[in-house]
Amino acid sequence: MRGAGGYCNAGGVGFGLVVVDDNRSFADCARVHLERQGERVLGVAGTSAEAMQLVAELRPDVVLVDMALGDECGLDLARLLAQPGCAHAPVVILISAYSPLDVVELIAASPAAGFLPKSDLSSDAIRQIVATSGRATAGGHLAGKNH
Amino acid sequence: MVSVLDGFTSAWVRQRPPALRLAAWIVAFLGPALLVLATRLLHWTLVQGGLLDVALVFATLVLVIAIAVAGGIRPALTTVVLYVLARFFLAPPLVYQGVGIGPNSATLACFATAGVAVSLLIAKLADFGAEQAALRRVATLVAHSVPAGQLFAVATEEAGRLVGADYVRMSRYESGELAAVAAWSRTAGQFPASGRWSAVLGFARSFTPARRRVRVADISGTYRPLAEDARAYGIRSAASVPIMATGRTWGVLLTGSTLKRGLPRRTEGRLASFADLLGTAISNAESRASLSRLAEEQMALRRVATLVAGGAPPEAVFTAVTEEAGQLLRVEITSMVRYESDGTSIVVASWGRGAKASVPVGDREPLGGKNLVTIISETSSPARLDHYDGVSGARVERLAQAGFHSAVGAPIMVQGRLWGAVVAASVDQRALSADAEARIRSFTDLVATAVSNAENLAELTASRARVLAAADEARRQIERDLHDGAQQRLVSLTLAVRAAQAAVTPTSGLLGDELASVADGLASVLDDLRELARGIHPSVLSDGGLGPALKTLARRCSVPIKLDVQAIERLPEPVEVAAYYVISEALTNAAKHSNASVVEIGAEIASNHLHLHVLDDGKGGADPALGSGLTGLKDRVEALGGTIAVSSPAGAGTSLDADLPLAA
Repeated sequence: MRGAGGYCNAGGVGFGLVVVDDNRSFADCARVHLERQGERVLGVAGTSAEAMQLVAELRPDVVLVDMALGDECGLDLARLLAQPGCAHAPVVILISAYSPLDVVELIAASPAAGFLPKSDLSSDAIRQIVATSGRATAGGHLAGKNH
Repeated sequence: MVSVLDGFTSAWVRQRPPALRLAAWIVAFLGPALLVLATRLLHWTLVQGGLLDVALVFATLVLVIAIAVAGGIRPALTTVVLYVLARFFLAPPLVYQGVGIGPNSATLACFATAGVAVSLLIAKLADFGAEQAALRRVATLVAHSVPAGQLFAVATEEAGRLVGADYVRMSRYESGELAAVAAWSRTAGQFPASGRWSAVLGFARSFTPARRRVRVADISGTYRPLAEDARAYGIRSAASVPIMATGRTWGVLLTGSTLKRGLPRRTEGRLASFADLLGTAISNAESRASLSRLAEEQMALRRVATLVAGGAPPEAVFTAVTEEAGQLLRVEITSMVRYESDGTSIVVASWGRGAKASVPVGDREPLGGKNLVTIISETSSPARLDHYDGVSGARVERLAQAGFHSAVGAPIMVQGRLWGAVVAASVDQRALSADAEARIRSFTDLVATAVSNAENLAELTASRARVLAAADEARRQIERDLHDGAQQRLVSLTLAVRAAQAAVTPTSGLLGDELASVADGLASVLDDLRELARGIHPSVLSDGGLGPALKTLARRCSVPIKLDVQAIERLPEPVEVAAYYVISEALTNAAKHSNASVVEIGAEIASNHLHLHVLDDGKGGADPALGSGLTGLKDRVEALGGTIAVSSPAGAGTSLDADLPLAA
């Protein structure tokens, strides 16, 4: 995973990502990091409302949602995004600066597909979660209901 | 002469049965005649009758004594006079051979003098004996502590018989009035032992300031009630003495006579003997009663004070006070009201005997009208209504209709302000005792203490809870700042280093390793920082509530945990925080000290309380005084109005039970 090849996108086309985090510097950092690994970061949102709007407009494959969204709660946003009524149902991955041990109970109760500590954010890790969520094709294209 | 003698004999005479008196009179007239006849017979038949004649004179003296004992001084004196006259005129001295051998004039004079003296002496002795006997009978009753009613009845009768009165009435002063307590009349059942008279004016008033005796020869023109008595019963004269008890004028002993010549002179003196005896008896009874009443009051107060000192809920103190005060004052209803800021009073406790009427707890009524609750609210002082005439206000009108007659009440002053009042109402026609206010007052002081304690406790608890909440908020903020600031920066840096790592080429030498080392170092700092932040405030608690937070705790604990937590929704934050720290501290102790193989954690919500239970199977024997960690928990739990208890018998594990109310 540390090898350069490990970061290559097998299908040649990266996931379309939206990062939701109120901490702009981290979001920028994550964008650089993930793009360098071949993913397409379509947009960055700081609030739930922005996130919903971006998701509707950009139809990303994956949404990375920070659990602590300022005064808002990332878990609530994850629930909103996973609602059957949501026009576009991306894979929701919760991210946090907390240790997974501290938040595992919250994640378990959430409809999100998975969790990544912010410090372990990587293309591979995202792909692993997408794969285990049962919605990814071998080529990296999502087999979601809307595709 | 007769009137002087009458002074100490007529009473005694009137005590005798009429038959005996009649017999004495008959003998008084027949006796001298027969004796003189006997003397004449002696003169005719016996030459040597002189000595016998003298003996007859002495026999006459014996007869006089007998008559004096049986019929009093009048027939006795009559006998003496008749005998002397008959003897003088009908039986001249016997002369034998020119020498007088029978009683002569000088002998008769001696006889007359001795007769009068003996009559007087006998009459006086009998009189004195009668008085002593009467007093002794009353004193015996006093010594046997017979009920007051019986004692008074006997005393009036004895006094009446002794002084030869026709009517006797014993009355006592009660709040400015004279009330009859006993009566006697020579003709049975005529004189009522009831009634009340104003003692403010007239006849009876003259007793109050000093110990004076009053005699009225003709009472028809005096004090009105007496004049009415006089007309009704034909009383012509009256004599009266005060009854002094415990240093004050307790009441009056009044005697009346229908005789035209009035009551004997010594009447007041003799009445005074009875009055003294009665006064002593009353004083004793009163001090006995007041002692037992004091003891009773002290016990009642102690019971309430124990409740207050034990920190019983104010409602329990209120209920106890209404009951104890009601029992103590012997009233039928007591109630406690609290004055509300909206100008109403609300009943907070009430007690009743016999359920004639009730004052329901929670009953609310605006202030106003003539009732004690309103009067006390205006004066902040004890008050009384000696009669319910003209009272107004729903509560008091209900009581008046139910036959209540009077009431007394006292304010409850809490730290100088009027908080409420205790009111006792009675169906008794008589006003409540003069010290009733003072007795209620001692209870209201206790109520004030209880209320004050409860208020202070509530304030203290609230302030403790506020301090804790403020501290918790500060910790939450610090944790948040750490998370949003340093932690995020470190995370970003870690990602940047990872990105740099990805850009390392094989030609970069040791750079890759160095970057990896930096990344590891950063991860380690991040872990340390997370640990620190978690200690300051568990973020999972604010984000996910108690359920996830307890699961997190359980997972992190080194001892296996059996978690039995029902689906708990979000609770008030202070409760969540307290519960979290309780469990956290218990788990820390279990892991450190108990050698337990498993710890059970239970949390459930029942009747608006959160119950926490932690039980380990370790060695037990934990300090029951609670370690410093648990002391902090106790403060935290109690600040929320909850309880916490730890039981740790040696060898039987440690169990902790905490109970937190959900609503403040």
